[in-house]
Amino acid sequence: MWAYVIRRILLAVPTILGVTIVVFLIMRIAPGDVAIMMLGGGEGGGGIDPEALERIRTELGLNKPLYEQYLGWIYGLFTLDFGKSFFYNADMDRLIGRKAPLSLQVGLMGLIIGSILGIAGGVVAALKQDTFFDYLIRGIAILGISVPTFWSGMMLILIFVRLFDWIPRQGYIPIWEDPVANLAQLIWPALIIGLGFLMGVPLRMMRATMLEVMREDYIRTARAKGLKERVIIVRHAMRNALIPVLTLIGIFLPITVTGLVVTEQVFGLPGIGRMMVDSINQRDFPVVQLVVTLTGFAVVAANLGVDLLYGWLDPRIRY
Amino acid sequence: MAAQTEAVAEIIGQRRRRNILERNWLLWRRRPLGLVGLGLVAILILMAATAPIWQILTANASNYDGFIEYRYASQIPAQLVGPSAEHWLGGDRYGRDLFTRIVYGAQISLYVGFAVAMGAGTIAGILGITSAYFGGWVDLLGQRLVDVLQAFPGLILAMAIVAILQTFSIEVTIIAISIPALPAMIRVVRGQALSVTKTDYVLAGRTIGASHLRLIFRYIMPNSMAPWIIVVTGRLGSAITTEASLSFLGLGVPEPHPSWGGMLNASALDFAELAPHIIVFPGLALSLAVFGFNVFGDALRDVLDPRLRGR
Repeated sequence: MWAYVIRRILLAVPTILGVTIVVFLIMRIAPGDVAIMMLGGGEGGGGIDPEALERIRTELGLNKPLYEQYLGWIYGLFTLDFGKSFFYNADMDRLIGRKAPLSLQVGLMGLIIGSILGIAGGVVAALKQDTFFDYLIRGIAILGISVPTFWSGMMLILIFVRLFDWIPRQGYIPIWEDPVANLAQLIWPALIIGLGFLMGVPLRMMRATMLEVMREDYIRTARAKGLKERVIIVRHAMRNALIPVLTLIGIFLPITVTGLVVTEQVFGLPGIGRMMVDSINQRDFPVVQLVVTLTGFAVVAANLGVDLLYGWLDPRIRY
Repeated sequence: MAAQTEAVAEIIGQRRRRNILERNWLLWRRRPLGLVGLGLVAILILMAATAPIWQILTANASNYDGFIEYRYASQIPAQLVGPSAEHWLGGDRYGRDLFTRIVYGAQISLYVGFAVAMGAGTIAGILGITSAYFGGWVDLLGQRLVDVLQAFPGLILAMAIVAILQTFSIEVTIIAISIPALPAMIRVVRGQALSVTKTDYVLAGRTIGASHLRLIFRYIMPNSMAPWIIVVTGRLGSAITTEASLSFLGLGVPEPHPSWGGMLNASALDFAELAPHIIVFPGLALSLAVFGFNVFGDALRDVLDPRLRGR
């Protein structure tokens, strides 16, 4: 067991290192000079004071050779010095600290909505296999995956405007300041992403594993014992069917980030997703690098966690 | 269940063999959702193919001017007008006929969808099979790279690629969507190819001295086809969604191309209060198209992968 954990952690290290290298290089291959952009110049940088340009480049460390910049950045990560955003003119940790709560809250609420509905829907669809309900639920699940979140978000706002003459507030009201206003604002984007991928994917998986489990011998045994159907479904079938669904947690992270990128745009929310769009466009290296690295780290950690949890939940799996 | 067993029995040749259409119909009949998907995909293809005809039909009323040479926005009278007999789905904010633009938009969505699915699918197929076949350090290194790319949120990677290529066009959009699509596809193909490589018939092929190329093309590839088809069709819908998302963010297919996602860009919402039709219809077309591909892909997976049948 421990040997397995250690091997997995050792394998995770090159992956995360790879993420840092790829994101570092991508941002630097991208044409467009940050220093020129900061001075407000366009292509070619005509009419810009070369001295000011030089000063900014030195200040941002863009004059150093690439490997030095990279090593400096990695060293910073280990010493918890995440650098400074070029454009927001703030330390990265404070910037993330300001932007992350909103995105985390929306993402988490979406995840909760999605998994509850997805798991419940999957169980019902499996129990009513090949009936009208089954097709309906599956249809809704695929619809959730298919309808782009930015459009459903727009439609929701449109309905609010036309019918209630109201739109969710833009900007961000922290939940600890005004919980009611915060929920009135953030529940909608959470619903939009929650009813999309975050519901559809676990629903389909839950249905599939549930169907499989219901054919197992131990379910027949439970029936033969004369247990109530409800007990069989909840205690015997659902519990086991849930285990494979857990593996989805790993793939949900990148999907949620993608969902947040467009949803925050539609709802005018200043979260991580919106910051990423701006930062990529403005070549704000430190922001993009740190957010991608953190996401990558979280994905790798989640996958590792899921695999270990798997072994713990399913005694048949031993490492 | 009975019909299904029957269908399977027929395919494995235990009963009277029916022709291929009959057999396919037996499998699809049991999948109403898949049939809906098939219908939607057919409508989409029909829309894309007949787009010029629709333009002629509505041209006298619409002043629609192709999708490339559109210039004089303010002179056009159909600005934001609602649906009418002249403009079936109304006019957009520059006065262009929305119906014509949506019909032409089907061409873009289909083009992007198929180009990404086939392009990324082919590359992933080659990389996946060679990685599995040759194994060793190439496989090890390749798989670590796949790990790395899979840890990236797809849309962010696509946005970064657009930033590198610095131009907005349909082709750049296709490249930007294809690269993030690769890792998951490579995974699937490699997994299948890996198990095929270990089978006895491949060993037999090796024993009679078949070359690498012969082994790959005649032994491994045909037997890795089913999962490949499944991942490729599965990509169609998500490629169309990603194109729409990129265009929505202003990083995808540029105006004046009638991309459905582009029609829904952020400023469309400002006009939508006055004229809801300009966001309702493009989004509807987009959602139905993606839905069609997704249910179709699902049903296809069901039909092609006997292990999943009945799920």
